[in-house]
Amino acid sequence: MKLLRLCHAEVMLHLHRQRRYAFELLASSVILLAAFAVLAYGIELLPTADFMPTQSSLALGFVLWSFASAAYSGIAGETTDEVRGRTLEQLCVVASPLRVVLMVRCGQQIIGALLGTLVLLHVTFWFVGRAVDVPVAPLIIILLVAAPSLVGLGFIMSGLSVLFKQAEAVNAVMLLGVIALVGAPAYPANVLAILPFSHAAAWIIAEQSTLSLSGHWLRLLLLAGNAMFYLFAGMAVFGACYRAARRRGTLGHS
Amino acid sequence: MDEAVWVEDLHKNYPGHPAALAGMSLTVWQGQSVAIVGANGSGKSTLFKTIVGLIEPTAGRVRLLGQPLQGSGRCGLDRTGIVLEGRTNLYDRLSIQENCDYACRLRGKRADRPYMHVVAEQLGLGALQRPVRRLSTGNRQRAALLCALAHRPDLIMLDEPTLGLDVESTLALQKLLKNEQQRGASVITISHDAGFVAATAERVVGMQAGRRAFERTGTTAATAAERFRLAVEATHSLPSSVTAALEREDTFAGQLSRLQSLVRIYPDLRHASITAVASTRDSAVGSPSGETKETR
Repeated sequence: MKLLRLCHAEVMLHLHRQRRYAFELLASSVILLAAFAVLAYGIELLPTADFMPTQSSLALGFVLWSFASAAYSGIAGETTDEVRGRTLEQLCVVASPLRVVLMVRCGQQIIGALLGTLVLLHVTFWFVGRAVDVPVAPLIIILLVAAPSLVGLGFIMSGLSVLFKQAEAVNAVMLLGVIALVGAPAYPANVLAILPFSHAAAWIIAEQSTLSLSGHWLRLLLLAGNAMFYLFAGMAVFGACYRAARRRGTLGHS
Repeated sequence: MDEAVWVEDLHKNYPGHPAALAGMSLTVWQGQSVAIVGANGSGKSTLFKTIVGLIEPTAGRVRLLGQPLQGSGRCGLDRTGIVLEGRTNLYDRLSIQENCDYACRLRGKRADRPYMHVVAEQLGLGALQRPVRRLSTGNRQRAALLCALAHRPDLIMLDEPTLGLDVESTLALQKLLKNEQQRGASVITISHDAGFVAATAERVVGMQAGRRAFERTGTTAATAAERFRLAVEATHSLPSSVTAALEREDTFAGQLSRLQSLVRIYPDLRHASITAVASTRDSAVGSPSGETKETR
């Protein structure tokens, strides 16, 4: 019941913010799509494009990156914003622990990101003049199973923000790192597959139109294990940073 | 009577610095109004933040509304309205009302709009649909107070609540806190504003070097004039005619009005502050036997 009320509070906050930041949201979406169009059609203009990805895998990579960024930022970005806006303390003086509040926000972001991903999938493929040939159901299941690994990364960044405050530069690097994770050649299973989300992204891009879960249950299980490992590691780092900030008396200082 | 806040032998040490808290103990009962006063760096805000769990004490125990701040004991925080010093904790882009709604919902409570409007009116805060970023410093402070009070807390903890408030708003806040206390809420304030403390607190705890330096209890009405005089005297030695003029007023509003006219003659009065109480001789301070205590 309490969790439901918290979810309600966060959904309402999110809606109010979306309304207040409507222009920024629209502008950033347009810029993002324009950047994608330049990239997608730029490939065709190159004299030799043998080493470059095809337009459809670029579109899929772009969609996966936007999902990964949203899942990661669900926690990391929120904490950075709260520290910068000097509003973090109010989240620490309520009965629900900060990590629960952040988890709720992150869950919300992931649901939003999934919906956004489905829309973006169609828009980007329409941009490059192709029909969406990626099976949506397996895509969503793989993304949902792998998303906690990005949440774990977000928790690590979040902990650093709570402790060191001016950790925005690290956050920017981490966002670039998310691109690298999506683009890492981690399929079929190799050493890069131990990185968070990389195996899921590589699997989806490699199989694309033939993406299926049947016969890949072990792979899915490994993905889930990888995701849980990063989630719990992230939560442990966050907990340590939060306790250190409380000991230092700097919680919420910007 | 139930305890609202219970603190025992609280210590907080930062490496390389003098102890921020050095064995502070305090009990605030439900329905009581307590002011914590003291010079800058005396440990007031550290105590405040330790009580609400923002700072982890090096040693000592804290209970908020009867429970330690661990696990399910944290639910006491949802029944506490908090304003932190110099931090309004408001989302700039959201309106006052949206911020208040969120503050209520975050504590698992329904946003009671009619009650919110009543409190806002008492605080002199209109246009609740206005985004916080367009508010003046004083109105931001009023909005922060509204968010702290809108969910009908059982415990109200305010660190420098009069920061940026004008005289009318300060008086309105005093009245509001009195109403909250009559409702049964406990009030803990940290303030350097002598008049505000005199008008709202029935018990004043003075801190120095992280520990309790003095304590004074009594009804507000009976001691307001005396406390105010103490603060003024300690700031600068003034002719007895000035203090006598202040003493003749038996309400804070009257004193304030008198003070405003006296300020034109004695500019030092502008800096009258409760922080100076620590240097004042007061026969009744913190001593049931009535012995004189001088804390500096």
